[in-house]
Amino acid sequence: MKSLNYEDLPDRVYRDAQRGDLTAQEAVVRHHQGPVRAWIAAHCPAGADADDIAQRTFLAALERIDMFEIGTRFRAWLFTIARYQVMTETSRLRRHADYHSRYAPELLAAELERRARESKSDEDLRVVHLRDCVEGLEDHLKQFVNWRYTDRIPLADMAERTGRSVPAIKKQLWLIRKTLQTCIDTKMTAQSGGIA
Amino acid sequence: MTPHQEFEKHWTDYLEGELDDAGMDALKKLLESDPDLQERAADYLQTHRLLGFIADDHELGRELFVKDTMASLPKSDESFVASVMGRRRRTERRSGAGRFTRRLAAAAAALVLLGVGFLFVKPDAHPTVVRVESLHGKIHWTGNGGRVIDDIKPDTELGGGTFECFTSDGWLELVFPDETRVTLSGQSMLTLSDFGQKELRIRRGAFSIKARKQPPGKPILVFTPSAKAEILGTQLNIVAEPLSTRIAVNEGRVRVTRVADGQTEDVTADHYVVAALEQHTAFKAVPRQKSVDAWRDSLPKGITYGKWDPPAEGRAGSVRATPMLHREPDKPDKPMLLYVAALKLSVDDQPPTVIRDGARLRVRGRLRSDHAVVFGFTATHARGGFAGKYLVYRDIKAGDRFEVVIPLADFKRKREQFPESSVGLEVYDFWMVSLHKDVGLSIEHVALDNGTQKSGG
Repeated sequence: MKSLNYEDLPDRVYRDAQRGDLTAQEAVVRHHQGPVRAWIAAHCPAGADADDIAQRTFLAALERIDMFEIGTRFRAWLFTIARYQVMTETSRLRRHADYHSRYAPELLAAELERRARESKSDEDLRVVHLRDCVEGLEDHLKQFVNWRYTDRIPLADMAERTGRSVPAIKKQLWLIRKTLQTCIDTKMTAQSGGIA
Repeated sequence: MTPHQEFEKHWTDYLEGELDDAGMDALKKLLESDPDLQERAADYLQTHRLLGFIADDHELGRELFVKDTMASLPKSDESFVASVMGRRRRTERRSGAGRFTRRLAAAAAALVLLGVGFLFVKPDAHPTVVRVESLHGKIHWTGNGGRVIDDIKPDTELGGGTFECFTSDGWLELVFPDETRVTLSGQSMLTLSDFGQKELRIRRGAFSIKARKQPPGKPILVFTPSAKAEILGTQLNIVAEPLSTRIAVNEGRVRVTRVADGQTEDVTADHYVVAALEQHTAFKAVPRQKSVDAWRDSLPKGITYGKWDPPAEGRAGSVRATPMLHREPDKPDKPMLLYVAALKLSVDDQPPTVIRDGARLRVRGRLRSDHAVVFGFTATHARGGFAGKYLVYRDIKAGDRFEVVIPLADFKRKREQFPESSVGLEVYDFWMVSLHKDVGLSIEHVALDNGTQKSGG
């Protein structure tokens, strides 16, 4: 099964990290940061800073790393902490009086929260599939993805570059996102053996 | 419009941050009416988030995340002792270790607390030297083998390294563990360290230092291109330029050494000294000058940002605003261009200029097209350090020339921690900025009057 590089670190690294070895602790952060940050990016509430939550997750994990039982799955243990940090941030943001008018419709926020709470997997394979799906786009469509997410160019600038109107650019982005979503759904379904 | 079409319209606006209140209400109604759509919207949102994550997931970003996380680990002796004691308690429970282990644990804790803990202290390459109390503007910190951090936040703890403030309206307030405070204001650059004795190497700029009493034999050492100062416990202001340094002492006493020839001068409260690289200039502490309440520019002297255009036929000399890239802390991905002209008041040993009730700023300049211009100034406490930054917007009409007269009471403080009224403070510098576009902003004349002079001309 395709994975986000889940080959765990040797037990001795975790033992060294428990003993306070900074090099070992850094290795732990480096090895697990990709999947943790991806999962948090997908599940954190609207208005939150995903990397901020990710950093708090690692700091909390390293602070109590001596509670981790050597020989068990570190990533699963780490994701429990990540889930807790996301829930904590969700509760904090919900206390803003105007949160739902400012950031996200209530039902959408509730659905994200449910997914974060119930997520059993300690990996988000969607990231792997999404990279493949983006790679599979035609070049001119991939360009829009780069402009929007890498270069963060305003829609008006995209319109100017392509000689199209802003509504046309919005339509294009909608179609690209829909295409990518269909691609991810297909790959996820295929991966789970065709069971919906 | 079908519900699907309506969702498509509102959803894209939502993801692009363009959804207004009416659109948000419409989106909520659509989601309420269709549970499948709620699930679909959540899928789309997560995919959108992951696209952003993938775009930012590069080698440098990953490395920065790891380094930043490691630098944020708690470093205090108390937390280390707590973790050592915690581990040892669990070890005792598991192995039945008795009095020897407990004595060893207590001894380890005592040694750390006595500061003789080099055998037990975690090997830590990034000890905290200062905490950031407050900041504004474009500020970088370079430390730890050349790593640059440009999104510093208040309460960040940092090790030794170099701070650089790039903007006239910027400032940075740092606090050492012993509550010694250092404030940088405007374009300035400082390297600091503490290996048992604090050292501040000022490359350029304006600084205030409020130093707590230092241990005997370990004064704070301040180095500038032309001077060295030893500070035991005092408040002083330093303005460092490539060829000279002005050190004004407000409390206590400072020993200043002129680098060019090694001459020393003790500077006491309410005195100042100028240490220039040229040895033939006077190097003597003199009493602080009596402040004045009116000032006019000495252009081209005093320019701290912008380009001087010399006078030409039919046209006065002027400081042309030049570009500067700026990022607001809460919008790091949306940099904006500022066009800045800035000048400081005190040149050629002019006395400090105090702000009286009714004071006004008069500015004459040129602008190619109608545009809003930000006018601002930095204030210091009389006989004290950095006080704050104040600014005001004015819409300026284009034309051959403009002239504005702005009461200083119209300038608003940039932060609530600054004094609400600038009356009684002294002006350090002025700056003028046009945002986003080069509209040809240039300044020919700036003056501060106390409100009794006639305006115009």
